[in-house]
Amino acid sequence: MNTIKLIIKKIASLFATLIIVSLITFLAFQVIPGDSVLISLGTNATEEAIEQRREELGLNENVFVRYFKWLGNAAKGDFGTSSQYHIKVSELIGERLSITIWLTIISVVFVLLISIPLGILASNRVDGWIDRIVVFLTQITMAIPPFFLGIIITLIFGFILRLFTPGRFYYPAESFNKFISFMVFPGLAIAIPKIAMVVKFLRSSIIRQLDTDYVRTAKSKGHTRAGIMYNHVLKNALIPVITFIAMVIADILANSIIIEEVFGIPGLGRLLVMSISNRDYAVVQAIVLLIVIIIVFLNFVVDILYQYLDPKVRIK
Amino acid sequence: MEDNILIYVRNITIGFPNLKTKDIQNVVKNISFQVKKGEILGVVGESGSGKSMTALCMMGLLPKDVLVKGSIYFNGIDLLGLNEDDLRRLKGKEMSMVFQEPMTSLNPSMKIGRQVEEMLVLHEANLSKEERRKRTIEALGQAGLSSGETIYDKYPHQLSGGMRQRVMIAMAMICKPKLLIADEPTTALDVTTQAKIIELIKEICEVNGTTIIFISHDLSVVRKICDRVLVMEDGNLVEEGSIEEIFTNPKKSYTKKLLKAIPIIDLDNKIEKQNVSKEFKLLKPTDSEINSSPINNYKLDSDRILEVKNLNVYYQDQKGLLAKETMTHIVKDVSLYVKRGETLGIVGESGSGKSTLSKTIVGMIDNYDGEIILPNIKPQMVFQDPYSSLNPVKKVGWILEEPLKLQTKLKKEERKERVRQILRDVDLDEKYADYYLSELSGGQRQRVAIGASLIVNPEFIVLDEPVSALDVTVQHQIIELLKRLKRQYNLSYLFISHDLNVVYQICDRVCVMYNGEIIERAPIRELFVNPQHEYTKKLLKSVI
Repeated sequence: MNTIKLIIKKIASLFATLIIVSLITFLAFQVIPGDSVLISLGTNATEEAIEQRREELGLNENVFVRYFKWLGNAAKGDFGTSSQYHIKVSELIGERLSITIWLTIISVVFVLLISIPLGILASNRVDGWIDRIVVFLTQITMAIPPFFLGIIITLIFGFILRLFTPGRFYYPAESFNKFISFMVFPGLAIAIPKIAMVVKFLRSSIIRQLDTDYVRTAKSKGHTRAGIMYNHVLKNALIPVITFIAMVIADILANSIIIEEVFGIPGLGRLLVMSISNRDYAVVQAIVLLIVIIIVFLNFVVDILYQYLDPKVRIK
Repeated sequence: MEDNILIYVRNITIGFPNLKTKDIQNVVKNISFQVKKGEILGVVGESGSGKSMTALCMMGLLPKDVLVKGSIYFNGIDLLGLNEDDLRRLKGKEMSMVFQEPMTSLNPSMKIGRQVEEMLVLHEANLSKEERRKRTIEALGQAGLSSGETIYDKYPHQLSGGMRQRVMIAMAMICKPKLLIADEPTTALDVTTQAKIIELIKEICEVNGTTIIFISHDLSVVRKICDRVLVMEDGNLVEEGSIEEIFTNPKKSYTKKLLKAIPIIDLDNKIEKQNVSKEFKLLKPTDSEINSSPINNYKLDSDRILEVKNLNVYYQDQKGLLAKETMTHIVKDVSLYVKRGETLGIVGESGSGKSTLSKTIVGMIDNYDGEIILPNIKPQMVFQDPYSSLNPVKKVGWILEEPLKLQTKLKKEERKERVRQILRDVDLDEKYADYYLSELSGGQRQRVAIGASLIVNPEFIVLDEPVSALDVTVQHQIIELLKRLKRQYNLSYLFISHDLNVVYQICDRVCVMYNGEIIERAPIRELFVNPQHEYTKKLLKSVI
């Protein structure tokens, strides 16, 4: 019952957030310099041609009227037409979105699969040699920017080990296996610094839990070290980590924009960069809105997960 | 070794390595003692005396880097010679432990039933799932949690401190161990709950034939249940003997000092009783005065520093947009006053509303109706736990100086001088201005907290359980300090406590709070000699 109430509440706040964010992005593009009509027609266009295009695109109307028109259409899934590609924004985004989401998923899988076991391993014997190595590695990898990691990975795995061909991207429709085996490398480039952060966070969270009274109780019951870790410590230690991971996922999504440039992946990020420089408002707005939806939705998932992990939250 | 000896501790020394200086600090120094089967052995001493360390050592719960010398025989087995696995098989099954902190000793994200049942999973693997559940509910029932079925699916935060301690006891006893170590099991609990928990431990161990090592700084509790006592000081075993020997004829000066720190409330003294009655009669009219005084008189009587009239405090349960708002009535129609130079005690268990009352008086809670009449200077407040109520990342000097920066226009040098003066006033060396709270002992921290409340020259201080977290001897010192400061600065106190012993030592008059209401008010001695209300009688009974 409470969970249903919570879901309804969260969905309501999700809509409120979307409206506010969409309004802000809409207004932001009214104030930044640059004109999509000029860019699409070229600087040699005649006054009449510009005026005619403006009228066609409805750019002469009041900002708020245009906003509500846009919002009404967006609600129906119609985000307008791209001024650079002259095709429907929804079509343009569709395939690219799935590529970016795949990239994000691959990175997140890397983060989860590597950081959680590594965090447990490091905190199992604090200041042991495994712990020292892990701490040392996290310290270094955390500081490397993803685009630079992308270059290094391209160099090592692409040119030296020849595990993939740099720049030769496969669409999932062409060959799903080739697509995934290509995406693994940009995914890794995004994941490595995040893995370092999550390991560090999880490690300190576990260490904090190991020092609590209930762990002492568990020891007095005659638990093994592993028993204490898996039955008692891990669940409590993961509670703060989950919020952190949600933040990391949002960050991974943002990072994919840069990495797509480095690896030449035709995803959402690359489209966004090009659309911003071409003042293709319709596309930019749709992408920003999409990213906001994804991030807000992630937070929503985290809140629901908390219901199951933290009994204190569940009561409210 | 004799057959009836369960535990034989021989020449145990426990040393903590100091990482900075590389030497070893011994917290337990070459102690030996024996525990007979079926006996209840009390271990008393102040914190830092090594009593908990000895217990943790028996249970193999000391940190890995701690150096232990000597041997501990449990039923003839040398515990220190066992490997980790063999020791693990004994823990929980043959010997178990109940800790001081019921609030934190249970896993917050695991259901009670599962936590208790875990003992059976670990030590009696042959039981089926249904049998385990049945045994768990039985054990919870035995520990006085009659609704074992419902408790089974609860989480720790849904239970009170007393109930959690019962869960801990059920958990410790479910495998019917030969030895139970109870380390200050009631210190964190209310007086009435304390008495019940002690009874429970005694009973449940009698039924199961379990030997108890009962660690406590509270001598009156030890006197009530133990057969024999060890007195520890600074890692040494100072004295050992039967309850009678120790309490009637202590040999060592340290034991005498400990015993002296227990407030002795001698109610059998008839002469005193008569005197008290006279005193009571003299004060009685003033007491009833408050109820008959006209309510709309906003002016504070010149001899009163605080007047509270018909105070009601509510707590709003926030349940968000969709849920219905509910108000909990916490303080119900309370009227009281504090005279200049007086200490008024407010006694009650947790949940009685005494802390809410004090917070409302100092202005921390707005949701009230009724009248609170105070002098112009805001009252200061001292809390139970100085470590969490003062900023741990600031030095003592900064903490003391801050109120001066906010409330006075003193220059930097004048402020520093005032800080030094306050430190002297609370009997701390000036050098402590450069210390962090973590470098101070509990008593020293509370001195800092008292200093911080004094520094702006208040006339009236609200003390909310100021000594509850401290050892008896330190308690005694802090109370003496408060008494002295009261004379020196001409202060008045509102003293909130659940501990009647402490209240007896410092208060002039007492209000007893129960369920948000003041159910009895009387001069201190009158209350102890001639309690009127049933609840007050019950409270007193659990103390003496």
